[in-house]
Amino acid sequence: MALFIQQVLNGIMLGSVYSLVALGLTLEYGILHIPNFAHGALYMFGAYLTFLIVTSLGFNFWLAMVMAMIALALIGVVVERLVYRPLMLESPLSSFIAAIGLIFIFVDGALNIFGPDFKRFPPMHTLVFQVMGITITFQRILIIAVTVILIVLLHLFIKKTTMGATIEATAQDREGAQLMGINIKRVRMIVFALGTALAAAAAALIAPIHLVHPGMGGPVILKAFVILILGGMGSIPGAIIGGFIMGLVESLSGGYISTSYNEVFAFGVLVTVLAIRPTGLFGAK
Amino acid sequence: METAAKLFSTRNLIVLLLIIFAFTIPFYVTSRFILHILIMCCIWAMAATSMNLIMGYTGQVNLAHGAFFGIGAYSAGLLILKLEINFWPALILACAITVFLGFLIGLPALRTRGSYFAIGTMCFNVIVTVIIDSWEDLTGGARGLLGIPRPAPIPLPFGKEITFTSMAANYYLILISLLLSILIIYRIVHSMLGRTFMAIRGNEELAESLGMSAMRAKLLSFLISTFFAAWAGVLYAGYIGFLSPEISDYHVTFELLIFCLIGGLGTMAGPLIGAFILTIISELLHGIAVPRLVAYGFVLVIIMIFLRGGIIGGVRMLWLSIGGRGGR
Amino acid sequence: MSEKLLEVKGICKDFGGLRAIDDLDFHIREGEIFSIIGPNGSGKTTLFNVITGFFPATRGSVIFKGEDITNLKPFTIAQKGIARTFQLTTVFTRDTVLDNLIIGHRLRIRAGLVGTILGTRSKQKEERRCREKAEEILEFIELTRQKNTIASNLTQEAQKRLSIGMALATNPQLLLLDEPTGGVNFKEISSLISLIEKIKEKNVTICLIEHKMKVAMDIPDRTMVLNYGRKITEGSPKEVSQDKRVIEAYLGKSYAA
Repeated sequence: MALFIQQVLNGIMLGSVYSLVALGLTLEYGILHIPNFAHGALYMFGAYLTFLIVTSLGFNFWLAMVMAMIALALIGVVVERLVYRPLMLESPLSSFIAAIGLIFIFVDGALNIFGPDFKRFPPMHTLVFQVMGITITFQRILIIAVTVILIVLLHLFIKKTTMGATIEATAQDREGAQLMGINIKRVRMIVFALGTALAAAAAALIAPIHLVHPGMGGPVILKAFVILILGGMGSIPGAIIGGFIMGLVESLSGGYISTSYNEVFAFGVLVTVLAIRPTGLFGAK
Repeated sequence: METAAKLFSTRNLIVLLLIIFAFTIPFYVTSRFILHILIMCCIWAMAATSMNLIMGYTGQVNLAHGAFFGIGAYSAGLLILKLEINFWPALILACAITVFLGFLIGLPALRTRGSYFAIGTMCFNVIVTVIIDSWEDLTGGARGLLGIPRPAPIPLPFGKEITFTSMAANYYLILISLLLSILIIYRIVHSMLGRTFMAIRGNEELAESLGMSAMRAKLLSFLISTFFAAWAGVLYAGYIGFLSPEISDYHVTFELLIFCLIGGLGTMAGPLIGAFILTIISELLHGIAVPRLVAYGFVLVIIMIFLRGGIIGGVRMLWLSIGGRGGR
Repeated sequence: MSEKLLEVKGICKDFGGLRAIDDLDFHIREGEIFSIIGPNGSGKTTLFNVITGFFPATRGSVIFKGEDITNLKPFTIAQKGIARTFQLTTVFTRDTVLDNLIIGHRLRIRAGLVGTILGTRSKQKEERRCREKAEEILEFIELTRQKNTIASNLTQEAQKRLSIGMALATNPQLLLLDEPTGGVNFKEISSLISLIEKIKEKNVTICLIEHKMKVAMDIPDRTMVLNYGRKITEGSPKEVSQDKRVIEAYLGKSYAA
């Protein structure tokens, strides 16, 4: 019983991270209409930046995370402007391939700059609770809490600000939005900045627990795509709920079945769903 | 008269000369290093050419190709090592097994479109690598499969036989396989079947309204690609002698994709040019600490934005701009 | 005595809560030109999509030459002899005019894998047949001079001709044309009309969706009017143009009175 609750908590923590990544991805998809395959690579870079700021500059972790989010937002804007925008009117294959190029640049760039070893954060919150035989670290609670805060902030942004409404309008109908005088280029830029910042936040949050290494984006981005396909590409609630479900599934199956096969399990679910409903669980048409 | 003129066209002459040149190489090149590079080029060229059929000519972004290369290689390796089957029947069996698996995967996968198909096949590729890595009892897991012998000797009349202990023999085997695969795929591409594939690439709905079953065409193209990927994988297993889960990895798929793109997706020469140039560069830079993939990455992005047809596409654009004719 | 080539019985098509076609019954006689008219959104293109298998029918049946073809796949329906064009002109944009026509005849041959690889005589014969058919249609649609032009470089009118030509290359018995004169200027309309009449002379039954009154009324033998997915009336163009319900559908109640 205690093991079960432990795994559930772990799952919620993992799910928080996945939700943030999926959120960023789904926002980008809603505007770009193509999946940003390089999202995982940018996520990884966010973790490294946070790590660098904490270890080399000695800043507080939260400050470092915010700084990394801002930096990644800027990088995201550059990527959108230089790579995705020129390919906006081409077939999705072109953007996809360009994204692969970006992955190579970032991942192997990180490999060469930082080396292949796993980087460990200096110990931070070592507070540990013991409740009914379950060990909960304060760290993990913080992850969940920060995720919730970020999600709420995002929700308020989209629903309560003009820019948020603009983004929603553009996501639903690009041409209509243009006809209303909305500057699509600016919307793309802002959405990309948001999406990448969220990815950086997710990476920074999980980095102290799962360590930092160049390949950390790979499994995460694949799972993010599974979440999007199951929850609906472009759907915000789908990304959030899907993220938590993914986290729980992974944690529980890892705890009770085996960890090496847990990725296979997630992808197996995906492949099965696509086989039955080729347009995803919530897909149109 | 007309056939003779076509037979001796400039392009065919160049191809013929290249083939003759390729066959005579072992006579004056004795360096094992160079022959090794050429052999690897041929193996990758074969894998890239087959990927080009489903991706370039049929327009489906199949990211599972590396997985089938790996499945072909491991099937042959296991058949030879564990069931002690001779290389040649193992080659046929391995290809058959891989195509069968391709059929099982292709049938559901090809019902999805565009991004979903790409992501789905990529996930399948990852699953395959994970399975090969984890199923230690069968595949040796991360330690890999060691000691796969070179292809068994082929008996000839009068008590002679062809052995594959020399570099030259292996070179010829792989070169002939490459040429065969190119010939077959060329024939397919320049036929009504090829036109069908390209119609699916152009506009699936329109193709359906003109009486072509998109599902059947895509599946056939997928299976043919898988067949040659498996064959290339078996050749790799027989030549290198050692397999590890990395050879089915999605990195392999991406590298094959790059070969096709840089040479020119949707052209026959493209994957060949891409495979040869990049394999040679990569082998030459082996010792030097150059961030190869970072360079690949920049090249990819630049090509996508500026030179979408790859090298061949660039040549073709030049050709059209000086007044050459389009069409097939 | 004209046979009923195509019969549509009780077809309904729902999209979620929206009923796009409501209990539609009509038939097309062999050898005639039949037109379907109606205001925007009355379900005309949806009807074509249901007949040709692109959308599954929610209820009802489609019978072609006495055979039930309801909900068959589009490629099967094309093989059975129904060809169509699309409202937004659809051709293979990156290919030449000739290549577009060649692929149009593909469904009438067997492009098998083994024969292709071995390069057998019969395969070569089949390819030649497609080419010959393509050249024949090229002349018929009067695009011979643009034989090697890339399709996307053609004028809108030429592209419409090409898409009609491609549909003809499939050797259909019934040709469904969705707004064949859409986006085409006044002069070009007459040449498209003569093309359609030439097609009728070849014994191909034609069903048109049309907006332009001239085309919708002048050339067809019979016309059907749709509104909100329902058939309002059917008959000769003259009868239909005087029917009060039709006037009401297009112009509103005040005009019908």
